[in-house]
Amino acid sequence: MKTGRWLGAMLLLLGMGLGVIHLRTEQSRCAARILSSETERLRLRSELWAYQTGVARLRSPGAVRDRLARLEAQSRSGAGVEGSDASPGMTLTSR
Amino acid sequence: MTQGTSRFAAVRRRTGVWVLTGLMALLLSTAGRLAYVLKTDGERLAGLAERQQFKRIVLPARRGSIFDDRGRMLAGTRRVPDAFVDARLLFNLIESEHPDEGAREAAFRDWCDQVAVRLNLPGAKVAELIRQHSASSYVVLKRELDESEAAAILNLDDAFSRAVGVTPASARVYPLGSSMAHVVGFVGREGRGLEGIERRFDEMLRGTDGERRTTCTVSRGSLDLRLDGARDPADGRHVVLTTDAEIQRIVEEQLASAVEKFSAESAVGVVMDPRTGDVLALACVPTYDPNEPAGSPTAARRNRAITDPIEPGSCFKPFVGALALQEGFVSSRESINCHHGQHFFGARRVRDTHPQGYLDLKGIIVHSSNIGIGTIATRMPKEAMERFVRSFGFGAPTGIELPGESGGIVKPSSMWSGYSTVSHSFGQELAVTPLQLVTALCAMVNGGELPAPRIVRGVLNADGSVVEWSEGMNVVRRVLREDVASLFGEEILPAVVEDVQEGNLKSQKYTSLGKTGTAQVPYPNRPGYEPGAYVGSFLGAGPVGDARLAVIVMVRKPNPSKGYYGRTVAGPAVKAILEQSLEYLGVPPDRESKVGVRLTDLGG
Repeated sequence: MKTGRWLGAMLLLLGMGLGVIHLRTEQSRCAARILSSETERLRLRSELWAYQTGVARLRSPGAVRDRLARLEAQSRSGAGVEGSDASPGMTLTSR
Repeated sequence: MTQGTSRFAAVRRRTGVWVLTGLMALLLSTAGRLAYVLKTDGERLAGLAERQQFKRIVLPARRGSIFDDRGRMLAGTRRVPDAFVDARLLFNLIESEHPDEGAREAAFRDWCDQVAVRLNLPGAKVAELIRQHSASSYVVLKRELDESEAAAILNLDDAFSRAVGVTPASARVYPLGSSMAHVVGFVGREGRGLEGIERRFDEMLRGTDGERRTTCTVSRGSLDLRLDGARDPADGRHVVLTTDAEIQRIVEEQLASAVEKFSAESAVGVVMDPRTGDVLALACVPTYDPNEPAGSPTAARRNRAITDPIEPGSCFKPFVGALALQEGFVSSRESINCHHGQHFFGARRVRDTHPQGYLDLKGIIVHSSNIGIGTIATRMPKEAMERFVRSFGFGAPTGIELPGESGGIVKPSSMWSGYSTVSHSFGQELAVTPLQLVTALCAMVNGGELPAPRIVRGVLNADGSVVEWSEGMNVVRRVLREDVASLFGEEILPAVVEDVQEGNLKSQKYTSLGKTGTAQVPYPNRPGYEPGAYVGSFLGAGPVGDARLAVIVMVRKPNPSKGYYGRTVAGPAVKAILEQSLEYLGVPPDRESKVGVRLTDLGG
C-alpha cells in the first residue's frame, strides 16, 4: 500500500512534469511560428516596396514617353509591335 | 550508556550550531557582495546579461513616400541588401588558420579578391576598406547589391566566410530620376532628409522602427518570443505635392533646350495655377540625380527658383504700371513723352532699346520703355514706391513649403538715392526670386488677389487616411482692383505677346499674355555689372481672360552672340510650356475656336 502510494505520487509528478514540458514546447513552437511569420511579413513588405517603386518608374512621364516613342517607331516601320515592359509578352499589330 | 548518548547529542548540537553559523555567514557575505555589486556595477552587468540572454529584432519602418498631384510616386523606399564584413572576426580567423605572418597576408589578399569578384569591385579596394576598419565588426563593403551579388556572397563557402554577410537596408528611390529633383530633394545615408521636401518634412516622413525581443541560445538562435517591450513599426506619413510630373517634364525639356541652344549657364522655370497658387512645376537646369546626389556639384543642387534673387529688369514694369494706375499717378489714356530713346533723370541717362515718341501706358509696357515707366515713377514718393513693391510680396519670403527660400532684396526707402524710384520702376536696385515674380503675375491675371504659393497639397497617414489637405487659394491680400487687373491681364499684357516682332511668341492654339525682361548680371563681390552677362526672362500666362497657368522662364548668362533678350532666349520656352501644358490639362484651344467662329460666320 505504501509503495503503491509512492508510485502514484511519482506518476502524478511525472505527468505534471511532462505536461509542463509539453506546454513549454508548444509555447516555443508558437513563438517560432510568430517569428517566422514576422520574417515573412518583412520579406513581403520589402517585395511590395520594390514592386511599388518599380511601377512608379514605369509610370514616370519620361518612361511612358520613351515607350510611346518606341511603339510609334515600330508601328511606323510596319513591323509587329512588341509589348511594352509593363505587359511582357503582349504583341500589338499596327493598323 | 546515558552519559555517552548525552555527549554525542552535545557534539551534534555544537556541530549543528557551527554549520548553521557557517551557512549564515556564507549567506550574509553573499548577500553583502550582491548588494555591493548591485550598487556599484549593477546597471552595466544587467545590460550585459540582457545582451547575452536576449536578442533584439528590428522591424524596419518605411519612410513615407512623396507623390505628385496625380498620385505618381516621386520618392519611395525599398529594402535592398548591403554586403558587410566583420573585420575583427576575419583577422582572428586568419590568424588562427595561418600562424605565419607572410601566409596570413597572402590568405587575406586571396580572400579579398574572392569577395571583390563576387561584388564586382576591385580587390585592392576591398582590402583597403577592411584594413582601414580592422577593429570594426561591421564594415559595409557595398550598398544596394543586386540579386546575383547577394547570392554570390551568401554562397561563399570557405574557412573565413563566417566573417562576411548580407544585411537588408532601406534605400530611398527616386523613380523619376533627375526630374523634380530640386523640389523633392534627397536623403543622406543615415536616412535623414538633406534637401527639398525630404528635408522640410523629414520628421513626418520618417517612421519609427518596431522591435521584438527573443531569448536566445549561445549561438544567438531565437528561443522564445518575449512580449514585454514588443513594438510594431510605425511607417512614416506620405506627402502629396501640387506639382504634376508631366508639366514638370515639359518645363525641364524646354529649359534644357534653351540652355543648349543659347549656350547658357543655367535656366529656371516655374509654372503656377493663378486661380489657386498651386505650383505645378518648378525646375532648374542644370539638375542632378537624387539617386546619386554625391555625383553632382553643389551648385547643381541649389534650387535657384527660390534661393537666388536676381534683378527682374523689364519684367517688373507691369507691376509698377498697374499700381501707378490704381493709385492715380497715371491714367490709361495719358500720353507720356519717351524722348525718342534717351532722357536724363537728374544726372542719370536712361535709354530705350526701341526709341519712341509719345506712348500711353499700354504702349510703354508693350515697347518696354524705361523712359516712359521712369517718368511715371518720378511722380511717386519713394515711400509709395516701396509700399507698392512690397505689396506684391517682393522683399519677403513667399512661405512656400521648401527650405532655404530667399525673400529677395528690397532696401528700405530711407536708404534710397534720388534715382532709386526710377531704377526700381524698370527692375533695378532690387532683387527678386523667380517664384516671387510668377506669384505676382498670378495676382495680375486672377483679378487682383495675391496668392500664397503652395507646393504641398496634403499629408497622408501610412494607411492613406488624410491628415492635412488643402485646395483653393490662400489669399495673402488683394493688391489690385479688378478693373486694373483686368486691364493688364486682358489688354495690355496680351498686346506684348501679339506685338512682339522678333520670334513668334503667339501660340496657334491658345491666347496668351506676357512680359519680356533682360537684366544685366551684377558682379558677385563688387558694384557694377559683368560685361556681356545677362538674364533673359519671360513672364507669361494663358489663356487670356481665364488664365489657367502662369509661367516664368529665366535663362542666365546665355552666349550674347546667340541672343540674350528675354523674348529670344526665354519667350519660345514659355510659349511651348503654355501650349503643351494647357493641351495636357485638357483646356480647349481658344484661338482655334475664334478662327472657327469666323469661318462659320463666313460660311453663313
